[in-house]
Amino acid sequence: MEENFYNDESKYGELIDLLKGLPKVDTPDNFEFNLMTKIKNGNFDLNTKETNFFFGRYFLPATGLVGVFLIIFFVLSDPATEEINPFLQEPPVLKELKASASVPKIINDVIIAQKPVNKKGITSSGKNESSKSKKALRVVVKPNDVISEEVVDLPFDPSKSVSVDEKIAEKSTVSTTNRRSALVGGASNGFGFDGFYIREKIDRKYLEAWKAKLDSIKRARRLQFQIK
Amino acid sequence: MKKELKDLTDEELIEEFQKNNTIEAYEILVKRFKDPLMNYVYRFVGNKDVSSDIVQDTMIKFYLNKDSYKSFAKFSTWIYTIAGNLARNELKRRKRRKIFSLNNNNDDEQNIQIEDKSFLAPDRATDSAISAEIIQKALQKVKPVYREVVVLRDIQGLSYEEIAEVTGLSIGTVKSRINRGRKQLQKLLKDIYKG
Repeated sequence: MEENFYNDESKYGELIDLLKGLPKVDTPDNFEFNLMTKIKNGNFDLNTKETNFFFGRYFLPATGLVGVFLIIFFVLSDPATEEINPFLQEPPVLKELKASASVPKIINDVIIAQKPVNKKGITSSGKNESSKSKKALRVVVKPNDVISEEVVDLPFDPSKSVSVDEKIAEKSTVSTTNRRSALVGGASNGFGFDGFYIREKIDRKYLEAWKAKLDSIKRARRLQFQIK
Repeated sequence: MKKELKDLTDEELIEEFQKNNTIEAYEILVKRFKDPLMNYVYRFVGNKDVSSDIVQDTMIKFYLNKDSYKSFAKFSTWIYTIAGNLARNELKRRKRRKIFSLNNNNDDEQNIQIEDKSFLAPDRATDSAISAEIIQKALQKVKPVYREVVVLRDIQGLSYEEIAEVTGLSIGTVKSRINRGRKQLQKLLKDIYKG
């Protein structure tokens, strides 16, 4: 005969009687009315929200960890150390232009000449150029449509610069022999250091070959003139 | 001669509701099961308002998922299963709230002093209403896994097979749990129970 270990109904008889004697709890009077109203209105929102056990059990720790990392990232990251994106920054030149919108319009801000200028800033064609400093000029249209020339204060010292036009015309009065030393040593002109000059050893044979070529061209031209 | 809807069995009514979407059949089933379910859920959860909400949700779920009922099962076990799942969810949610709550003073379960001799004075314990209250509070002290099967067996009067079907447990586990639940309850009610 099979023994029933859990058949303790007789052992707990009195307890079972107590439990069976408990008063029955009924639903409220308006239970059915509320239920049918909900169904007729299509309001099927459950009073007791079902919990997402899968998410709660398995993803909650991971979500918490991600949250902590995000907080650490946003709270502890120092905004002072953040790099400024140069592409998002407005160029300083543009800022200056916007700020000086009321300033007379410059039609040609290219330095048009390096003319000798007297102390008042007005150009003169006087012969005594040595007493006047060379300054750059630009053409400016003022609000009353008057066109004038203005002296431009260049960020470098013209006396230490080389005028290319004059150099070609061999009129340069500025000695360029010490230019490099002036650039390297002098800090007043605002120039940055532009590196060392590399002294190349010239190949004599190479020069002679070029000289021979040029002589040949000259001879050919002379012959051409003679034939004509 | 065709039977009236109210004379049909639970299974016949659910079939009628499934096939013809007869709302009267649904209403009859609601009438038949609302109070037993309320009693079961209240004894399990221990709060009337919450129990009423759970029973209402059970009925809404029954309405929405009527086609998930298969005719080989008893309707009563099917609807008890829905109510039991909702009640278990509620208890789990309550447990989580209790864990995360810093102040548990509002929890009425904490205020119960079942083994307080003065509270269980014989003259008071004989009063049936107080006795019922004490039993209800003692039930709430029993572990939910044991409480559920004890309520289903000793209060709702379901068979072991039906309880096994409702809870999804084997009959052996059901019997074992009922036994342990009764033992716990007996210990808690030792002052008004002379067994």
